Amino acid sequence: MNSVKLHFRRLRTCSVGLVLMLIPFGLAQRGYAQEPDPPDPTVSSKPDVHEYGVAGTVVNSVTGEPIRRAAVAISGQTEHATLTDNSGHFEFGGLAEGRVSLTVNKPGFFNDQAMPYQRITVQVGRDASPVVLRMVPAGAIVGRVTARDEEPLEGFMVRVIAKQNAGGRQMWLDRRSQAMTDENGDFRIANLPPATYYVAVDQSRETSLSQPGIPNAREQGYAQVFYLGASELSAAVPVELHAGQEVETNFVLAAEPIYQVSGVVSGQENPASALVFARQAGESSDFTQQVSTQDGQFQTKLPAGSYSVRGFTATGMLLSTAGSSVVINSDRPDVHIVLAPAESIQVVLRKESGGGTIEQVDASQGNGIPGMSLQLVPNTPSLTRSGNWWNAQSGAISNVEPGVYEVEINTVGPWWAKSVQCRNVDLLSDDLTVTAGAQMPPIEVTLRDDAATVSGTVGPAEQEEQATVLLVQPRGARNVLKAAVTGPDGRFQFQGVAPGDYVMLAFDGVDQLEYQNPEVLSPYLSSAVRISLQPHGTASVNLNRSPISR
Amino acid sequence: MLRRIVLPMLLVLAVVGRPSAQMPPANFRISGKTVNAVTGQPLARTEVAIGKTDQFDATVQKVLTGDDGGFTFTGLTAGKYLLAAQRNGFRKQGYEQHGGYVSAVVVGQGLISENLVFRLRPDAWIAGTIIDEENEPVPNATILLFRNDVSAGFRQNFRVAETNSDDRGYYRFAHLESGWYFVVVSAQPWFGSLAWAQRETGADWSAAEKALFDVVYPTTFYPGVTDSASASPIAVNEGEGFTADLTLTAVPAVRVRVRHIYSDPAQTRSATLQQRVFGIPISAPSQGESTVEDSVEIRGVPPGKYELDVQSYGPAPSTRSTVIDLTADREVDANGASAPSTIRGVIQMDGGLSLPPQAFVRLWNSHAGEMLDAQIADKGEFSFDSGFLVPGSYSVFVMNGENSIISSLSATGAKVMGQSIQVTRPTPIRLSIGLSRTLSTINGTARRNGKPFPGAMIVLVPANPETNLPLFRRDQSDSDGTFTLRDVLPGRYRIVAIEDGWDLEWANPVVFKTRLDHAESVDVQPSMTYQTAVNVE
Repeated sequence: MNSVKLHFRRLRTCSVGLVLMLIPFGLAQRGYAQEPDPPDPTVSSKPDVHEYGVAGTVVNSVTGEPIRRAAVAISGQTEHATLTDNSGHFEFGGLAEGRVSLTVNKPGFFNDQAMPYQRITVQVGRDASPVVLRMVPAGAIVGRVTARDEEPLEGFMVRVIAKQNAGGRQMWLDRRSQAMTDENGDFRIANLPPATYYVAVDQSRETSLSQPGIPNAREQGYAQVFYLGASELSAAVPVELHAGQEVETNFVLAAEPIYQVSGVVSGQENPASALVFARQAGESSDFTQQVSTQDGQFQTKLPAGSYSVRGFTATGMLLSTAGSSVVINSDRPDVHIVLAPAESIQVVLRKESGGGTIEQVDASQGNGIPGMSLQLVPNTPSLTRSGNWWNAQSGAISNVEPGVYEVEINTVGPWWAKSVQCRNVDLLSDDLTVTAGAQMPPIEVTLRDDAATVSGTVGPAEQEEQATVLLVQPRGARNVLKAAVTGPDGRFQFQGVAPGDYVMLAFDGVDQLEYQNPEVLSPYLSSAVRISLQPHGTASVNLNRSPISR
Repeated sequence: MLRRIVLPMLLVLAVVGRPSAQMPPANFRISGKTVNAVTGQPLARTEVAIGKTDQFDATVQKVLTGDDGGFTFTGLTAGKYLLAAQRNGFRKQGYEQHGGYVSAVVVGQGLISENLVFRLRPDAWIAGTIIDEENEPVPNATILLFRNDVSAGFRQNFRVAETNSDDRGYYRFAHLESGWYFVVVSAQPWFGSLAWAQRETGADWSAAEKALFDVVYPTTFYPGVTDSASASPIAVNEGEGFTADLTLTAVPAVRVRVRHIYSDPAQTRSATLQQRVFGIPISAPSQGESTVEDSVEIRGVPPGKYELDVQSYGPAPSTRSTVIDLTADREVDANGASAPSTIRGVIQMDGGLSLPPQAFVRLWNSHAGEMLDAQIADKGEFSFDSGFLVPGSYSVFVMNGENSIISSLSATGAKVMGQSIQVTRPTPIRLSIGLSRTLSTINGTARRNGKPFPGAMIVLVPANPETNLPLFRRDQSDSDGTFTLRDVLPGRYRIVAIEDGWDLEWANPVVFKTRLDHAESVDVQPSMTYQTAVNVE
């Protein structure tokens, strides 16, 4: 306690001595402007209201050592910035009692949520103690890519992929962290937050000769490969990167002979002007080649394997060899590829009124449901495939490839989806399976207009970090779930909520949890707030942030 | 990247025509071995490619050398072939390559095209770490590499590569030719952008904050100086590397406000700042721009001398340039009188024909390293923004002229000597340029003691060489001693052949004084082809 008081006395002298101009200057905020706090009415006015300060140290969360020359900015009452000294120390003076926000930046450091800055709110006043801001040092993944004969491979792109949460689902996200190998085959991908990563070397962009001494010998190339030598993500070895660590991942690539492949493509009135050959490797592909067609003819070079072929027509229709493959294991001068249009699924909308009468809705005409969206989301996370959206104008979901999907439907205002069915499958709790060649029956959606609304705030009030709010109703193998992110004052709102019983919870941050996975979410449900909603009902709820166990 | 030289871009040679049978015999060979030019060791696993000089892509054949570095191509028809090779550690290069010239391998009856020794020059590298005065790395710095070499006849610096520093401040240039280089760094402190966001609200800083954040790095030259005259050249030999570390020291930044640039909503305008590095314009380092009313403010600029260009887009694009010496914050009026262009002119194609659409006019002072370009507007008019012109002799070129050459040059306000003008005082100069397409070709053979001499440098020297730089022509003799000089303008010339003249300033008359005396003389008329023989000394 004593040392703290001494500290303040020193500050007061400083604040008198320094010519501190309280001229505000804006700080790069992520989105919205800061407003100064209203003066605290319980504090009696003093002759010198701005007699307090904030001081602290920025340290490396792993070593505990101070971080020098980190940029610290203060906002909330005034807006100033400084750089920490050699001991990682900073201080701001001339402040009044109240709440201020401190933001710290330094290249090569993150906060706990992998953001490149650290922000906290502190209370300024008589008993405030020095602040310690911990920043997580970044790591790097380095390595060397060579061929089997130890020759370095230059010009190969190495990428780092991590599983991240997006919209509550675990997705493979390319962190946009990539590097090209240099003339020694070396690469370095730095500034990575601690996480579990997968490292991939992209397929070669050029071919080379395979054998010495033979003029115009067969060319060879390299397919995409994951560490340690896997051709697909599911067989890849994860790399655990800890804070401040440098991990080495080396690759020895095996070249594959390249074959000359040419032929014709048919089966469609509007032929595709470009084809993409993708060699199948598990759920995705490890070698792709794009080739343009000339009068339905094409010519390309491919390594051996089983390929699916896709193309787009001029009108944007997807054509593919859905379900069947083109097998290459030698030079092939006369391949015949038959392309068929991808599946298109009709969506039929019906409105059910309070009395029970049902009328069909044509979304493309004027009586559509405003704000409604419907999406087919592939249920295995994939690097290359994204979902398919319903087009209100055409009334259909087009270009659907064979696979298993979850239906995600969102409504606003008074509307909620009472049922979403395809033949007999309840798509609100089960998946939709699209098989190759089978004509899909329409998806039938029945909507009602007596939805409830839930709004509220997430505390504590001083916490400025955004929170994720979940409204959950367990149903079958999947939960019915809506998610929202809090606004600037911790407020949130859900519209288009089906009447019924729910539980609600809130978490710190955005995308910190794979909440769409019922197994991940269930441990948190026991402490959730229960709420019951009537048709046309409104409810107001105040939630506290639940901690996420890691 | 230096590695990916596309050989067909080289200035080369015509296919030798042959009296033909129904099908040309295809029983010739090219063979030899690749060796390391420095150690003489054979190079295994080297990719060697050949292709006919006039249809390279269609006729290319490739082979990978064995452990003895050997390569053999058979079943070839007669003709001239380009021979190229590349390997890990050896950028793609041509046979006996010097600058942009190679010796083609001529294949045919009685010609030798076997047991060639293809000397590959190993790559050099330059790498280093950029730190600031507090010993912390500077990430994302832009590092420019300039090479000092003989180009277009005179020794000068030209930009060859650019890269960025990584998170450790580390950068690397690979696949370099041996020679002399300069490393130039342009970077911003990492916290500079933080400071800029603050600026957006238009508020001011305290003096302490300004000293900390409103700083910028001046363009810095290895070993760490900020003026190009004190820069140290870096020499790298084949197969070797050099570590060039630099420390950047921050200085208070200045701002330039260009007022009224947005005053006319119907006209789109923009302002850019350029600085000259070795006479070559590069973008000035700055931390960004913001719009203040109808002006633009360019911020975070190191003090120095710059050219401010105000460009107008739209139906009548134009650029106004002013040279400004920035020592402190400065305001400039976008609509103000810029330095009036002192060099203007008109250019016409002989015979009233239309001008090549991509052509533009270039003035080049090779001694001062100053080069200026001017677009050609309607009716053949052009004008130069002459803020950076120093007095001296400027050669006049027409670039992208599609095989047309300057046939006549006259001027008021400057003295014309051959195809150069003398710029002395800033009086207005008016040029009149005539372009011609009536060009000639000189074919020849280089010989020594009666035998054909491959790999010699052939130079066509015009009368009055000091002022007729655009009239020079060059080539390298092929494996059978033959060479071709193209696009020769009518006039009197002498031809010189030199065995190992690749480092000579071939356009410098002092270098040639003695050799010209016993050189072969040619009197070239319009649109003719000549045949000659030249002795290699």
